[in-house]
Amino acid sequence: MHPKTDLALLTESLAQLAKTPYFNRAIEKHVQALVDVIRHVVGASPPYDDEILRSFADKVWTCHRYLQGSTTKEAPYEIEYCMRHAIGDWLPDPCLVTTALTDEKDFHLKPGDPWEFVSAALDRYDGIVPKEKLIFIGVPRIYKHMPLFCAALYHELGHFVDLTRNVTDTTLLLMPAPEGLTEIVRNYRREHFADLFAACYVGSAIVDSLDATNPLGPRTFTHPPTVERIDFINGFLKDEKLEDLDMFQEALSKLGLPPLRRRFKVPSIESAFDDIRPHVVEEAAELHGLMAAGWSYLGKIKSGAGPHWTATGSSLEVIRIVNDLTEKSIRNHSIRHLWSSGST
Amino acid sequence: MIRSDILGRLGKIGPSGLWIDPLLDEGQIGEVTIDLRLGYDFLVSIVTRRPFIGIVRDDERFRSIPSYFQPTRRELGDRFILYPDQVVLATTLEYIALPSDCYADIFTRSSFTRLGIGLSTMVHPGFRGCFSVELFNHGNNPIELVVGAKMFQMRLTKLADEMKYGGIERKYFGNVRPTPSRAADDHDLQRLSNLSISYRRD
Repeated sequence: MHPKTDLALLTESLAQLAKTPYFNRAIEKHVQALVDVIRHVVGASPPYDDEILRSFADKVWTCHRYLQGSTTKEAPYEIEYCMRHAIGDWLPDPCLVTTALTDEKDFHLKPGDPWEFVSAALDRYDGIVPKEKLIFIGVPRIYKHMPLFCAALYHELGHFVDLTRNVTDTTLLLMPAPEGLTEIVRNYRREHFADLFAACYVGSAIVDSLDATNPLGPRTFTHPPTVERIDFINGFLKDEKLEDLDMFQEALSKLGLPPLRRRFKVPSIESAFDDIRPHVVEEAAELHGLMAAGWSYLGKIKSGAGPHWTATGSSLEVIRIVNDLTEKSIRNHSIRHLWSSGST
Repeated sequence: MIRSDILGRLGKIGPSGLWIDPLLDEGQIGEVTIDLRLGYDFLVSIVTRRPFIGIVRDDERFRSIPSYFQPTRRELGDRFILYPDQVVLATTLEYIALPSDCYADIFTRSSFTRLGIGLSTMVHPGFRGCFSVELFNHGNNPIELVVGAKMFQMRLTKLADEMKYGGIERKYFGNVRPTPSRAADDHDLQRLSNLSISYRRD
């Protein structure tokens, strides 16, 4: 519809969100700032150009979708907690992570920050702009309590870091693509980088995840074949010498970013999970490592070598309990962390 | 079971061990009870167009019990309002593995009982999971609860023998979040329904 009408409707909804009890205070600040800037735009005289209004309205729509997702209080805090730890390794700015539960089989992670646009395009706005960057995560609703099935989010975080810091584009300067193939090479490098990035955090879980979701993925314009991707990830995890890995490392070094390296520690979860207890996570590296440990545990159950309790339930029940134990292991770590920070 | 017995079993693995995580403060272990905290996941009862919650599945108007509840999540330290006459299903913050020779009685701590929140439930030996707690505000005023507050206490009673209990075939075993009632899963209900039909026929 007309962007000004959309903006007015979105303000109403955002203003209502800001009044919702239990709303996260940091997000509340963003909502209020957004409401203020929309009111400025809607009431501006002379009015802003229609194209500016349209682009701005699109950005507000996106923000609204995720901010609303976070107020429904169904947010998968445990997944967000793991993501926040990983994001902190790559982005020095304070970030706010908010999640929308999607009805499609769609994982994504993207910058949702309207503030850069506000600063660049709304030149008459002199209100306060929040310092934190908003990052939006999309998680399929049916996986909201299935953290092991969300390992793909680390791959999406890889894309996010790539796009925000131009990693792949830098590799194209260091090692240009053959003429006429730039687009396809760029796409493939983006996928390989995101795969390696995910492997840095979740290790073999990203291979398991790829193998489970799209084992026969063919070569397309946007994606290399799954087999090739898995070979590359396995090569990285086995510390093999890989030309493309060296290329990414060089690009990261030129951009002043940390190298791709293992950032996880696979915890030994067997004694806890066999007894239907969560694992006590000792350090952040174990949080990410839980993904590999959990996938390997599920693999053991599938092969018939699981503990006695897995023999009595349906496959779905068993998968649900392993995910629940993973979720509680993450949440307990987060609770201990919050508790100790509350004493200061 | 008294404090020394509790401490003797705490953190031990195996059938006689008692495992509680997170145990944020050792002061939670009292002389005869262990204080437990309010968890972060809630199922709030809602009023629907159906005049009652049916528990017999063969009733053509049967509607699944979870549809009478709305899930909501909080973070540690967040608030939750418990309204008068409203049923809210929650859990303890702690995940607990009970010894196979002890059962647990769970009560609200007296400070919360005095606000009008009552709870009394029993958990079998060998249970694993966050304890389900059914919150009901018997008073006239809404009560603001804080996620992570010490709201409950657990009293452990030792049995003469170990009991074999557990496995995921048990209702609510391995719970990490509140689970709606599974009253409709009771196999006796089918038999009782059949009886009711045959009475009417005779």
